[in-house]
Amino acid sequence: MKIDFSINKKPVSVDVDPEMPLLWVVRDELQLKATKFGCGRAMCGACTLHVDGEVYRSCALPVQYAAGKEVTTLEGLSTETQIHPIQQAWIEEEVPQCGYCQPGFMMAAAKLIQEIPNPSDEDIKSNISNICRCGTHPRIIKAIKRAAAIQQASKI
Amino acid sequence: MSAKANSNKKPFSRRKFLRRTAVVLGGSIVAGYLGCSPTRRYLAQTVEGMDFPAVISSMKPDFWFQVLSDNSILFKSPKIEMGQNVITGLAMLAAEELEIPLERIKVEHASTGSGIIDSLGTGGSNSTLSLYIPVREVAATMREMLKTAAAEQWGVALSSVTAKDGVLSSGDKTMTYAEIAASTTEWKTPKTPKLKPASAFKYVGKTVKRIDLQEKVMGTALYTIDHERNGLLHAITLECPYLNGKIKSIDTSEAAKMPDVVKVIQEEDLVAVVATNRYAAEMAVRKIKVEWDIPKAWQQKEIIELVTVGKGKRVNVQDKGSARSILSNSKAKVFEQAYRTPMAAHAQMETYGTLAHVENNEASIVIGTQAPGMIQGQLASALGIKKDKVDVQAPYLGGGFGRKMGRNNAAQAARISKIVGAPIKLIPTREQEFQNSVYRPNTHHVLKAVFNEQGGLEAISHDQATPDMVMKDLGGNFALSMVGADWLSAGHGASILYPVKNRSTSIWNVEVPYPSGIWRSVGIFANTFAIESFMNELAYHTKQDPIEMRLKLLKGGDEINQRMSKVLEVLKDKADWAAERKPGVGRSVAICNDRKTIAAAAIEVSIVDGAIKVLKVTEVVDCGIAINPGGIHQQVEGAIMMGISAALYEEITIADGKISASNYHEYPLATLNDVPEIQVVILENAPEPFGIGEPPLGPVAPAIAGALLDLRGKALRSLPFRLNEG
Amino acid sequence: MSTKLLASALLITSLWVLGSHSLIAEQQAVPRVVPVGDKEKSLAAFQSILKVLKSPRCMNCHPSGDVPSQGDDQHLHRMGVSRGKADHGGLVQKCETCHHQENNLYANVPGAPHWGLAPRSMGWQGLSDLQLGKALVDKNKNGGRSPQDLVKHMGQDSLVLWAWNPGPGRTPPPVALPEFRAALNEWLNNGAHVPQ
Repeated sequence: MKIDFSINKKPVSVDVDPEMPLLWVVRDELQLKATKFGCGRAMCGACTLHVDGEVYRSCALPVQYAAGKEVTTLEGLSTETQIHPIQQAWIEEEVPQCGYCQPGFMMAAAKLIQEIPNPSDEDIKSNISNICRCGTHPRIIKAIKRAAAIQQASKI
Repeated sequence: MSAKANSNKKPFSRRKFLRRTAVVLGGSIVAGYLGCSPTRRYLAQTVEGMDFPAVISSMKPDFWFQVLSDNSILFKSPKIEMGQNVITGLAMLAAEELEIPLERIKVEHASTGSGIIDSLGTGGSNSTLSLYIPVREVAATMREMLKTAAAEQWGVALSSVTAKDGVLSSGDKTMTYAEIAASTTEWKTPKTPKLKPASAFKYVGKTVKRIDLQEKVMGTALYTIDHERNGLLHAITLECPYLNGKIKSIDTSEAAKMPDVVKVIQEEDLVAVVATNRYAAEMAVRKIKVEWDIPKAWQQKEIIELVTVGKGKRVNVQDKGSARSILSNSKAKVFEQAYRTPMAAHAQMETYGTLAHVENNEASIVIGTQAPGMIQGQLASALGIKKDKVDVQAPYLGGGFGRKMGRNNAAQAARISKIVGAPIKLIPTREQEFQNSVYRPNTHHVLKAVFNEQGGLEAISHDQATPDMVMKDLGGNFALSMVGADWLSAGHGASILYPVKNRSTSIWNVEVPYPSGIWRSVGIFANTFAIESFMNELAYHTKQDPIEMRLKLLKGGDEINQRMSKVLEVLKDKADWAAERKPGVGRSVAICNDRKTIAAAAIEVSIVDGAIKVLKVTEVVDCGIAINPGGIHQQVEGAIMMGISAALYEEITIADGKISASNYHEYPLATLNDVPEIQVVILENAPEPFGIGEPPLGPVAPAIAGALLDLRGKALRSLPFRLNEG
Repeated sequence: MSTKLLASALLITSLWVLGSHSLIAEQQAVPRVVPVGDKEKSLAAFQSILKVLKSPRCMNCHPSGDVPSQGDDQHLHRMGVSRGKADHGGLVQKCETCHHQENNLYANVPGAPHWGLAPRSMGWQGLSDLQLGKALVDKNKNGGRSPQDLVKHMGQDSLVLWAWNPGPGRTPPPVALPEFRAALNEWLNNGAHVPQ
């Protein structure tokens, strides 16, 4: 089935089984590799991306749900001229270790600072359930707060 | 400091060096240094005069460093980056001698076809230590070769040529490394140059951001699953969820009818669906109807009983004084406790998969492995081709933790590729990763101690029952039976470190029906949990402060003991040990020595809503020279989180012959909610860099146990902690 | 569309039977229009309804606190899921982050329209049978529903109906859907009694 949507602000058209998870469409049909496969059961969050600004676990989102919508992956978070506050903070706090879970975390975090511009530790802990095995959690919390500050500063 | 630093490493002899130095096959490739994988180096130190494999190939130059045309240097790392940040440390070391800014060094993993890989793999926290000298020696040699070439080209004395920031100069003549590399065809090999003293280090000791940071944040870092090939197909194998199960009957007809399926393979033990996309392959493999032949439906209780002190083969690994007879004949009260650690999964975020392309009896493999050399060997024998026909490339690993040293699907992937005549990607599902894996084995520990009349520890003994972790992989059952037990890995850290006059340690090797392997910190995890929990209980029952008791015990000990004391003194200060106790908060401490890295943690816990909450962790590590302090901080933080996870949540159980956890919902890990206040302190009380990836994990679980004992007056002696158990 | 028609038909029938749609809920008493003796029938039917309400399929999303349960063993929902301001999750992770219009056969994540938690006021977890029965007909605890509305919700709502099509690994309620619907009608038509 032909499904049209927009990915990172570019229109695309894919001809796949409408039930195919958006994860595999993004990775293997559209060759955007930042979105990762982790558990295939919507649990670990490695495949987190945005559809029309909302957070989804793309391994459990059939591609048909993206029809006519705007999909954003990590590759589309920053623009060519402006690095996203989350990515800037992730670099400044040197968050990643193995790096595999980080795209999903960053996508969840980008939504978080949009919804809660000045998040507390508690806000961060209760709103992001992604899994990391390297133990980058302490830095993720620091980086989200830093990103929120960067975002605030850029608005002034 | 540097003289001492080098004292226990033999410099390479000129003769050997020449044999191992290859030079030049054209253009921009400059120099190399062969046969110096740390394994070989390690062996070379112990086995003089052994024969090294032929290392100079006219077709595929094996090089560590290449000068690229943009005057940067490509370092083909013999060690694998799995998050532990080894490539940054190694590049820093290389930069010291290459006389090139660190940002001009690019790092990629050596592949079996294009560089020197470490045949033993990456693990055991030994990468930086084992390469601390070799990397600098090779870098210095290359620098001298560049200088020599420049001196010859310019017709000046070598002594007049200097190398700085990637530029060679003599008088008013200058040339970049890239320029000399491009214009030189014959290279001369110098003697191994003298290394820079540590006092002249430019990078070592300063925090440097990870080399892979940018790509891992921007999403461009590539893992196995991200690699592509023209005409790539996706495969999923059928795996038996039962331990040692085999196919009794199978019907693949429904799977074959599923859309986008190219082929269903059923060949001996290999059953797989190959499809044009991953979704189709996964959905189709679920349509296979299979009945399993299960030799025995193992239950958890049986697994625990198998691993019990007194069963299996015993190897004495420590026997100082006469601990056993003192303990068995003591009239004074003998303290005795038993501890257990459970099976655990690595649960690394990236499942351990392979991209394989087998064509014309040559195999090209992409696999994020900790041991490319091992994979190469396995594939050569699986495919019946020579090793040099198998190229193994390791991209970044989405976590290793020991998992990617063990059981893998590379041979299956290669067979499937050969059968379908196309490149295929075989990435296990998370269920397969949990159920067809290799596990940290469950262990059982019995500790005994008796005090003398002066209140000093008179004798102590430790018995550890454990399955093997690596011995069988390294040398098969024969090797294991020769050495009796796996004291190398599973028994690592079992010996009593405190200089008690009478101390004894035994390891009981037991057989289990599941594949057991190494898990971050190897034997240190289980042994530190048991020994240090026991020490905390001794302190509790004799009403001693757990730090003071340890300091007292460590008095008059060896160099390691002295370093342990220093770590504890600093910990006492940094953890604010003298401060007034907080109500409702328990605290304790634990310490370990993991191959000369000392790590100690002071931990505070409380009970919140009926659950254990780790409030604060202060960890002091002494890993000798701290090459990249920022990187060390990161490793210690990660180890603390993994330690909390293992202590509070993680356990693999077996029911009806099956690994009971199929995915993360059945194997919960620590999350953002578990982040405590963390303080990391680095000491440098040794003149060499020791490992840091694993050691800091050791003290976490026993310090939590001690803190719970302090809080509740009741000891929990098995992991993960459950408050209703004590 | 057909659901709506069916619902209207049911509602009209109910109104005709009962005479007044808000009678029971307001008075918590046996309505005079219902012949005495049918109370037992209603109470017996309620026992069947209760079996369904107590099924993990219904209970899991009617938590008394802020965290739903999941699975046949009714463990607290993992992944840090919580009610949020509008019973559909937090500001970042919403129910919709993972749950969609239908069961996902690839990821085995259950799904149905308007997947979410029942409001806090409709929390059932931890209630005794007696409390559950009372809460069910208490307009303050049932979303302001009359017995007719309740019957409509329980017999027709697509999220409720999902319970009988929960996907692999999840046990449907112990009463089959046709019997459940029959019990609902029996209960309503005989006075919508709950045990006192």
